[in-house]
Amino acid sequence: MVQVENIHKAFPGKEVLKGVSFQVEEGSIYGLIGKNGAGKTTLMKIMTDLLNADSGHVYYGEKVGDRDGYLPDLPSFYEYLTTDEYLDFLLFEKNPIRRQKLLDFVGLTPNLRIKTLSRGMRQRLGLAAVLVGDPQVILLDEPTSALDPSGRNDVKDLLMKLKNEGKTIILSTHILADMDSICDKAGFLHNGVIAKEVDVKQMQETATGLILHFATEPDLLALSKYVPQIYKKDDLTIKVVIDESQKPESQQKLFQGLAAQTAEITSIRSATPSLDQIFREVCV
Amino acid sequence: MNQGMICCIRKDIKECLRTGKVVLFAGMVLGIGVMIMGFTLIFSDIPEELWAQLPGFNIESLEELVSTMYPKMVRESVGIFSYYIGFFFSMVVILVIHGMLPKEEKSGKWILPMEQGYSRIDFLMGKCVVYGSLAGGMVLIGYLLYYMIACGCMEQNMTFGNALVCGIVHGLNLFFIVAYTFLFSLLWKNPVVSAVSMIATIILVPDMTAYFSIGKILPTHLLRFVYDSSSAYGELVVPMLLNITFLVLLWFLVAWKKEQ
Repeated sequence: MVQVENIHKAFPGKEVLKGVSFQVEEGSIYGLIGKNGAGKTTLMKIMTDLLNADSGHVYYGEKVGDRDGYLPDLPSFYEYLTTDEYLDFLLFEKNPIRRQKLLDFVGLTPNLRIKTLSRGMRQRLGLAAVLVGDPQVILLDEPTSALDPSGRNDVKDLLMKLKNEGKTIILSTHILADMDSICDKAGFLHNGVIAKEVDVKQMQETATGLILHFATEPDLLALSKYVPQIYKKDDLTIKVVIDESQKPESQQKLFQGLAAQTAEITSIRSATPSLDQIFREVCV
Repeated sequence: MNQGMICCIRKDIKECLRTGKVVLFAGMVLGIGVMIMGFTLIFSDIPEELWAQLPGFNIESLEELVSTMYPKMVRESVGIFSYYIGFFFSMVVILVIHGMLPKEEKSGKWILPMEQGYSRIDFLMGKCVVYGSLAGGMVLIGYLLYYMIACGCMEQNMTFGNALVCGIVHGLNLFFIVAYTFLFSLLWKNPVVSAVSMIATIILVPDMTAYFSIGKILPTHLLRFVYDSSSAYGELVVPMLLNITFLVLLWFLVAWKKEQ
């Protein structure tokens, strides 16, 4: 288990992290979500000892500050080397068997000039480089941000492969569509703290609201007396949030409120929450 | 030397070969040699040509000027060659290498290797050894080549032994210049400071300190030694020891700073 405890970090004139704490279960994927400049990279660098925290600790299992695999957002390589030479360099020796295993895992052809690699291929090589030391915990900073949709899918497949091998993965991103499909848990980094944490799988299984479409503009003021949380999507569409802890009562009140409406309802569908919605609520 | 340093040396050898550094350094040495040799052979005939074309023309001062600038004797000509190497070749080498390590560090090239156990000192060692040996080796080869060709077409007044020592000393000069440039580039915040201070030192200090007795013990005397094609080998001991001491001290200072 990875445990991040009360991390503080300030740069001249700006306190970036103001006590970040979270836990990541072994063999799971944890998504660190936040706006650009929220401090995701700073936190990642602290977690990999590339930067010192002003205070706080990171525990990998039982040990404090143990170094694990870290892939920066835009990994930089020695362009004049080939993929094989680069991996041999990281392995400290010529080790064709291990090197081939790494290349096969990330799906790269051997002996390519790094200079000629596409962004997606560079990300794969970066992942192979991280795996050289066979780390149990892998930290990835914006692994899909510079990739096209097919490259993003490839990286997501690789991460699932790693998860299936029992690796713990922590990744930061602002592309939330990627997180929905692969993360087990997500933490929203906002104003220097983890402002909200969600269990992604559980969230997807539970619909907490309804999307209602009306033929004419509804009377939101009247409806708000029955349902406290109403989000106006456009003039004719609203989202109502049902309180999970008091579901039967909330539903009953909603029906009463709808019955009092003069506007005709044309459609009702369940609103499955997404990380994007939570992001808007928490971070924007 | 640990395995990390050896791997960095191997990597930097590939860098030199594949990014055209070997060609650049060899081309520079060759170009300077051809230029000095050409000027010496062409310009030394000009006063006589002028005298033949313009009888009565006073060629003494012109002859003196030409013989000072491009003497047709091996020892002096080799000295001129080493001066141009010390001036132009060193300057180009410094300008090429001064930003290499800070740029690599800043661009994040060290992150993935450091995750696997490399240290900053491994990268520094690789660059110093490979680029220092390349620049020094090119100068030694160029010096001996120039000496041998000069022996064939100029007045011989220098032994091969003397040329070999001077060639080795000049090769070491370049090695030290490269090593100091890399070390200073990691010590100062801005690597340009490293380049400017190194260029200023090698261009100004040997001439400035030549007039003072203290100049003979400074590391820059090693440059003066080859410019004069000197054979007073005893003068090499103190500057060489001081040079090595400075280098070792600077190495530890950089290592300590980078560990902080």
